[in-house]
Amino acid sequence: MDNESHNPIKQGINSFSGFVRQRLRCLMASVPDLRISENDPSNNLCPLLHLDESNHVISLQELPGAGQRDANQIVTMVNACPDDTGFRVLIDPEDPHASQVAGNLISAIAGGDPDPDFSSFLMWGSHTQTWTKDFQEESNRWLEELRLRGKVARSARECIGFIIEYLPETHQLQASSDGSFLSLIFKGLHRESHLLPGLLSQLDRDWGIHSVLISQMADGALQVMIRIPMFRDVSPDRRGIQCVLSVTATSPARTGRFGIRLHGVRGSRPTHKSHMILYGGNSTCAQFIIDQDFYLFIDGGSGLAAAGRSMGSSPKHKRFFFLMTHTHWDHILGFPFFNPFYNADNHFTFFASNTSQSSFKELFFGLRQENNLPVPIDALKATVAFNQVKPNETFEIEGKIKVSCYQLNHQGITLGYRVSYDDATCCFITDNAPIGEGNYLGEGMEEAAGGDKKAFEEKFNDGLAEFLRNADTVIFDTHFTPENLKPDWGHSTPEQALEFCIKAKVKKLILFHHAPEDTDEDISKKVTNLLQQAKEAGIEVEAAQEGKEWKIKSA
Amino acid sequence: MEDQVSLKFWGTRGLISSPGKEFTRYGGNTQSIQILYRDHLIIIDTGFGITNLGEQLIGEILGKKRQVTAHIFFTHFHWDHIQGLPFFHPIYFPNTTLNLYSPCSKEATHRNLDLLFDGSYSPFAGIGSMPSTINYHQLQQGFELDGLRFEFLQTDHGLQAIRNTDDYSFAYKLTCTGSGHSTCIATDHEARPGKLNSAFIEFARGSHLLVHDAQFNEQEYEKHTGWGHSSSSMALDNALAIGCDRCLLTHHAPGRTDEEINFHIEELKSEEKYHNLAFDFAREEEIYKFRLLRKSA
Repeated sequence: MDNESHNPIKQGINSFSGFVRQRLRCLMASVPDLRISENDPSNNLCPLLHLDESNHVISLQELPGAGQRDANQIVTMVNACPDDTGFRVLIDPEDPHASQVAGNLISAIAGGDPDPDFSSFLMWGSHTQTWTKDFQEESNRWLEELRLRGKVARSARECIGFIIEYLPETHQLQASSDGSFLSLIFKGLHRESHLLPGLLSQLDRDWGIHSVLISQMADGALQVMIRIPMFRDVSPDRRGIQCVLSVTATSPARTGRFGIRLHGVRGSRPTHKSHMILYGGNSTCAQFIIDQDFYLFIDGGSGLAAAGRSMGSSPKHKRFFFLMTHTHWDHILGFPFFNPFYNADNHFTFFASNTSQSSFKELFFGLRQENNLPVPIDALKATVAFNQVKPNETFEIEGKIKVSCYQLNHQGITLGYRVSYDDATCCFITDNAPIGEGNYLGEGMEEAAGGDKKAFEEKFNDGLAEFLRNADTVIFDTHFTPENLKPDWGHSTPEQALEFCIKAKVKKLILFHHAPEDTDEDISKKVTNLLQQAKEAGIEVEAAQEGKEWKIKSA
Repeated sequence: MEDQVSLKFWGTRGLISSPGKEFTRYGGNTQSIQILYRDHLIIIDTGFGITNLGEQLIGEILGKKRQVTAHIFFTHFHWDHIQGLPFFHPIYFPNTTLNLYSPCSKEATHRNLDLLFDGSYSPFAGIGSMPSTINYHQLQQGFELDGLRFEFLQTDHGLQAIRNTDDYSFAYKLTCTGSGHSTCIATDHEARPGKLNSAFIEFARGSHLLVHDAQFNEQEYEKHTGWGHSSSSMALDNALAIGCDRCLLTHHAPGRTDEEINFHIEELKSEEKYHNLAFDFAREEEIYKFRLLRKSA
């Protein structure tokens, strides 16, 4: 066994995905004054990397030259995220090259991509202090240190006490050195745990949470990092304090070749309240993550506007495809605020149903005709094309992605979609109500049923189960609970969704179209209530969470 | 005893809601303001913010069997000022009465709101299908509601699209005739030099509390001149000209985070000309009195 295999950093780096290594390679090229020196693996504590053509780490590099700071003084740490979805580089900003390195690092990771795969992008003061066990002693020392800096911690002691009480699990506390934030890192939480939403809301109520970063670990457990502001005013003067820029990048490896990101998970309307932080408040919008030169979205609720804000008007790809479930407000109100519409280089193609009342095209432009739009009416510059699709139709997007449709039980002609790419399949079923006596919501359903209602209902339910057959991931409208179900409102419950998934032998169910009144706790409960039955059937159940990406097919 | 009159923001965002943790302090719902005056339910605009007020009222309706009578005044009919109405719970109850007011014609008010309830865009069959009683009123200058006087004036808001008076956007001035306390609310107004802004300053002069559009920061405004919104310093300059006691900036841009606003406040406060001006960015679910009364010694 050679020396290198004992180097934990190199071991960690070797386990990175190809994407991450490729980006690190760009980083290396971008760091000033970095040249490849003679390798001395024994002398590498925290160096930069040298990669061969296939992005395999062959050696670790140092900054050469006398009188210059070592690479490990600029880049103080390179480590992999616990779930190997990215890497984190810490830079000492006191170094004269720091801002340049940071800038290069950011652009290297982004790779010119205006919609980079950052799972987080944080800058904070550091000089990280990590505790795992002995809290009382350590927290006292930490408080003392804060006092020495002339800061008064806002009940940090009580806060820590609270954490100890709540979390006997492995965890860390990190204080930023300027005292502005306290980061709480919880490991090993499971998403179905009631603890998490409760903890978040309690922490928020008592201390005010600045941000929450949740990442999923390989075993399905969550790592949650909560940042609590300790002081209202953060001093911009950080002299004498070692600060750290941390960039965490996420590779597409997280979702493989085919994933989905939910930009909006609410039904009916966007909603904003402080106890709805975990799952998000934007209305329906999903984006498929695919390694193609176009974007594929489902629906344009307020989540689309949020996606557009981070994309800008000139994103990497010029072509956008939209699958439209239907035209209720919560599925379209983000369109006028989606930046890429205002660039003449962009091209949009819509797949949508036409009702007997009006075509999707009329409804889309109708949004602009009335004088109700708070953005200038003639500003839409992109080209827009419309394709009518009908229930049970099957078509392809750019010859790459297979799509089929199914008319759901909801007002107008609402379409569920089955989208296949590579060897993975995702079904998107919203909005949909249980069909039954007197509850025929879709256009033409009453007529199709004719005299034999029972036969029609059976046909609808069997047809939907068949539509979902063997899908890897199903995203299903679960607006209601069995207690508050109003079938004529056009939505279902988690229990009804699971029933279809069991029948269809689906692998994963994602609960979606959360009611605007539902708190984080309400939504967590929906998952918990389903777990036992889902486990028996071998189905994974999760609740849709805004901004989160899912692999369509689990490994 | 003098009437104490105040207002409460239920929605402070412009254009579109922006839910999320980073918008918690200043709010993520689109425009809606409640006027707290005696025991009347008075609302200016029905953006998504109104849905949270609706949720609160529903408890009262179901619990105390209270009959809701709301007086709703519209500044104009852009989405972000009306879109919450179909989700305002009391509208589903037959013993609710909604009195809708706008300086525009009754027909225009009905037409603009009806689109929200259109069968293609919603599960409803027009606003007429709502179980509550809905009355339309064309607002007259000087209208009084139990001693609260309403005046209105056209603002400068995206004039390029305006075809007739039914497309105007309005500022409201509310005066409590008993105490004389007043507020002027201009949620959408571009305070650029010109007739409309001069008229607005005259109209608002002497209001105790000024609520003013400040969607843009200075850099953004340069790129969006003529879009019908002000920058925060334009709004504060108006506040100085009007001579109000206090100015609340509203219609926050959708992506503007709490942190950005906090930073922006510090920037504005460092400018000498605003040193003696009381101002803040409007916060959701916060109550602001028309007039801050000083306690006598």
